[in-house]
Amino acid sequence: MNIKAVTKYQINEYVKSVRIYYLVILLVCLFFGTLTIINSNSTFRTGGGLEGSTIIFLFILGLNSFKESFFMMLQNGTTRKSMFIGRLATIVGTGIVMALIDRFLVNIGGLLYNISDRFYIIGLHEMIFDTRAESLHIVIFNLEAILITMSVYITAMLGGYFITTAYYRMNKMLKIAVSISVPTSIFILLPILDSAVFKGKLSVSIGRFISYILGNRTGNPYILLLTCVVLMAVSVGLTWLLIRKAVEKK
Amino acid sequence: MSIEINNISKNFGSTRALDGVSINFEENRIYGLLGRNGAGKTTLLNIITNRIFSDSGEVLVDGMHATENDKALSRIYMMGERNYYPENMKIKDVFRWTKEFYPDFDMEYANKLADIFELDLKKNVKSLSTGYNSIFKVIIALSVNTPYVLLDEPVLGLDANHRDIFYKLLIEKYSNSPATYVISTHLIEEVSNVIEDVIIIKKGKIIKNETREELMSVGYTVTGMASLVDEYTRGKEIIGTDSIGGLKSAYIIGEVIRNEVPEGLEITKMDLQKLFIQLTSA
Repeated sequence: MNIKAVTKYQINEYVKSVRIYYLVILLVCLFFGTLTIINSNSTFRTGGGLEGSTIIFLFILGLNSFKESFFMMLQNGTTRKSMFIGRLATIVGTGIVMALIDRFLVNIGGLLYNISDRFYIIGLHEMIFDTRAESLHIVIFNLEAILITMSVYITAMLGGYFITTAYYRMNKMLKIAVSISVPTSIFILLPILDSAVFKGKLSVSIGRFISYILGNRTGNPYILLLTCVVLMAVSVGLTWLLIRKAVEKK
Repeated sequence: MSIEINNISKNFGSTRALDGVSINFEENRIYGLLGRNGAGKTTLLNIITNRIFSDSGEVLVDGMHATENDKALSRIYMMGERNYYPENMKIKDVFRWTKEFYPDFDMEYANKLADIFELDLKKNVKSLSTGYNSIFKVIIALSVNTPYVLLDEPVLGLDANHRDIFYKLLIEKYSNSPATYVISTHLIEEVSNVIEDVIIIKKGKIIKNETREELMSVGYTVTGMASLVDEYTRGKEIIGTDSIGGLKSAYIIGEVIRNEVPEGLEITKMDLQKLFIQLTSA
């Protein structure tokens, strides 16, 4: 199999974007950090902002992970199986590395609080599962945070990868139909239905369900981990079904 | 050692692009895959290289099934008419990555060819003209050193000088390190001096699969004064004529009987393009 070359190529595709992302994060932090130091009335506060940004970034990265790479792989005599395995390895690797970097940055941010209480930087894990921070040893808590963040990151990338692959396989009409019907259903039809038929109970139930599967409701991060594992399995399975019969469409 | 294509069929909606195609591309030969627009040439090459799937039939590369088989696919390089490389990638990076996927890719030779064609390696793919888009892919195809190289319209957009360089380089490369080359092209006259075997595809079916010599021997060209040519060709199967001033050339199917040819007429080999037009016209 060509997996070594495929993975090397796909990692190379991500490296540039990840570098730019962290450069932007660094510049933003430097800008607001400097403002905070200069202006004694201002504060630098963020709760899960870094990880939240990373989740969005990785979802977009996933959305950009199919077409160009697929053609390059076809040009270079690579099977769909190899390109898919290579992509999964790249996604998992990127998820791990970025979870480690973000945890490191969050901890650095936490140290700033010791210097000045105008800097208040906490991670997403601390924000959602605040009681865990008090009950666990700091090392265990950080390892748990890395594990959960990593699984969320991988899920975000796989979600983006699945969507872009699905769009590639759809014909023009289906693309238009999905692009209109999905947001319309979620943002227009569902609220109307909820208001007219369920008197607001539907959105409350959906909110509770989402809160539960994210582990927020129970304060148990392993529910979130389980949710991510299920979503990853579904994304991987569906994406493979789409990729195994994908053909050149130029 | 060959690419064996067995009974391949492919439909696009209601269009039958390939209809039970069976051919062998033998080791170390140069094939011309000829056909009119939409005859199924690119579809066939795309199926061989696993870019699309056939509806039925199989492709074997050195005895291995080609469909979703990395080992079989690593033995083939296809230079497509369309660009499959990332548009923002620099040519030098395209070469570098080709080396990753095809370890036998000869970087030194590729750089030498880039110099010959005056290709700027620092340019990215999207900034290249149509001609240079073909040139950088031709360079890869000549440097990749796989046993099978498929060239789909390799001289698309190339000027006469670059086409001449390409044909010379192809023959030189083939002489120094033989491989199987399959050239799909519309420029039949030019390629006819390069190819050893001719495969003609019409409406998804193989209608000719012969050596060039065999194919050319089905007919001949007679040239001379128009009146002499007309008299000589009366009753013979003429597939085309060309006239310049009082001179005329007629392309005739059949065997030439030398002692029946009157003085003043010259007999030469059949023109492949004329034969192609005859065989593929509706």
